[in-house]
Amino acid sequence: MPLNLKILTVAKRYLRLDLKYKFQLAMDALVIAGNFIGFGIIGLFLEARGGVMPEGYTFEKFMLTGTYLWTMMARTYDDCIRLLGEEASRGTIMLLIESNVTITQALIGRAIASTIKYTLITSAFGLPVLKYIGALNLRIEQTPMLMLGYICSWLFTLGLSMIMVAMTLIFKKIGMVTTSVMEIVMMAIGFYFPIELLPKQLWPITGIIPFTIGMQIFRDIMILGYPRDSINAVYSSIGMGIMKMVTSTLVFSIIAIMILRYAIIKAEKWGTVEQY
Amino acid sequence: MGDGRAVLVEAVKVKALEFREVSKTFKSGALGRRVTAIKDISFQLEEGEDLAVIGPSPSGKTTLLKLIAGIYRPDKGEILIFGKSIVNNLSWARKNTYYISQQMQLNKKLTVKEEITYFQELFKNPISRECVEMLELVGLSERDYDRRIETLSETQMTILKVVLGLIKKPKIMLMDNVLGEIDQKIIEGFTKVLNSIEGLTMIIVDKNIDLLNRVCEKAMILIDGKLMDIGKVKDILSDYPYKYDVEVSWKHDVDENKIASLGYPYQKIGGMVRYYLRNETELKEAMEKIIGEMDKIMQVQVSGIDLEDIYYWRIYPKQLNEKNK
Repeated sequence: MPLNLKILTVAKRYLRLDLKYKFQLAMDALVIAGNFIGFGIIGLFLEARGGVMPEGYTFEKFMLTGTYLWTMMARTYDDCIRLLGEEASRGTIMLLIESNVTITQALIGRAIASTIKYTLITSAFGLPVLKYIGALNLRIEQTPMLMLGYICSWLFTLGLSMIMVAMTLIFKKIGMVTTSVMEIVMMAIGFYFPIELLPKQLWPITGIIPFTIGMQIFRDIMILGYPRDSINAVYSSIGMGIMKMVTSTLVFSIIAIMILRYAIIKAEKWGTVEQY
Repeated sequence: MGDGRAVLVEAVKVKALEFREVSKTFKSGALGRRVTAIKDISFQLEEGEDLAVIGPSPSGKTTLLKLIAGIYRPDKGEILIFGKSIVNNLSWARKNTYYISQQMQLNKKLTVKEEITYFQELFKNPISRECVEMLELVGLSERDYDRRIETLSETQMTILKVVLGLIKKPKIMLMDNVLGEIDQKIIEGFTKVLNSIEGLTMIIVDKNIDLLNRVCEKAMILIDGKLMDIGKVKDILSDYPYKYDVEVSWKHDVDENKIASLGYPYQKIGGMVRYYLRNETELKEAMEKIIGEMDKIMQVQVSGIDLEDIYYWRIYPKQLNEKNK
């Protein structure tokens, strides 16, 4: 069976399973709604220092567009890193292995299913909110660019979850690492504040993270209706920004797959692949 | 002419599985001490053969099955399935084997149909006649396919696990303590359906040795990860000097001297004493002696030597009191 069809079959199965756990779905929706309310309040009552926000932005728009993209990605990340633990606690991890699905394929399938689920839930809350605050200015001709930013951010998140799963395979319990990593990423990509506020020395590092560029493009298109030509801390021209984003996404994804593959082989050698 | 045909048949027999000096160790405890699960095992199995793996716990039985399924990688040696190395053809090997255990669970929230469809979509195979027959054995007809798995009985779930494996069309089926989960009333029908699948090689681990005795033509005895014996059950049995066993349940106040006084080799297993006899004459004599002691005996059972006896001889060789032989 072609690889992509196998992943889609796995994704379909996870989606079907998610729909069976209705209470969990309701709780997820509640938490996502809470995110919008929380960050909406912060955006409404706090004001950025003069000149910190790009022209056309308000802090509220900045926070809520960021929340919209971040929620879809972060929730998918959470589902992915919980995958093996959940399969193990349900006792279905052997069934997964015996259905000839590798951990990598399962992870990608899980990510696709979660993305569909959370995009629908987040959009149900997020789009009306963004429309209300005037941050839904997407133009049809900008859709491919928006999608590219979205896909690169998604692949980065998937790669990050692969590395976390690899760590789980090797060390079994990795404690707060998964949450801490996401906190750092939130800072680094400019979720809480514009990327320019980070020390200049960090710009080359944060600017190369695909999610940073993806987040900037996403916010610009949603708030302004177009991506800015240059963003000091990230790219000097939009063409350069896209090239940087695509290249770093590819490189990061390859590294993540290799790390996960190494961890799977190690776990198979140690005989711990199905133990959590 | 007859011999020539035998040679020809021998030549076309396909090696389904081959172990070449395979070893597997695991790290154990905080100090990382290595524990040997499988030690330098070599054997071959032909296509369509059924092998019972017996041994005490732990003796490496589950590790052996998981190595074949490609879930574990060997530390040393090579495992070949139909001539292909498992390590170098992992995906192919996993596709052609199916490991099923007590611990393997189905997604209980899904329906029978949803689980079946998942496997059908993955392997692009229709549900075969054997699968339908097997599901019908446990009362699952097509109209029951919409039932949630959580509503099925233990036996029905186990059969469904086997059916999912059959959809995969494996060449080697590995069953780890599964037979015990199946209602004994349908076990015969179950094994009959499995045996009707052409070319399917089965390797079975189970606590119920009596059942393995009936199902498998070949057996392997593993003790402490070492291969002690492998071969056709009837050949293994013929290598042993005894032909019958008489299981006697003595009353509690009977002492060792009385037990030994019958004059035959014996072994104490739980509350039972099992006497081993070489031939019918010895059996007849022994029965006469036992009848003479009936006031001290609660229960007597006579049977032919089987895998269970060999299993106990191998595990507890020191307990076999052969002073009387």
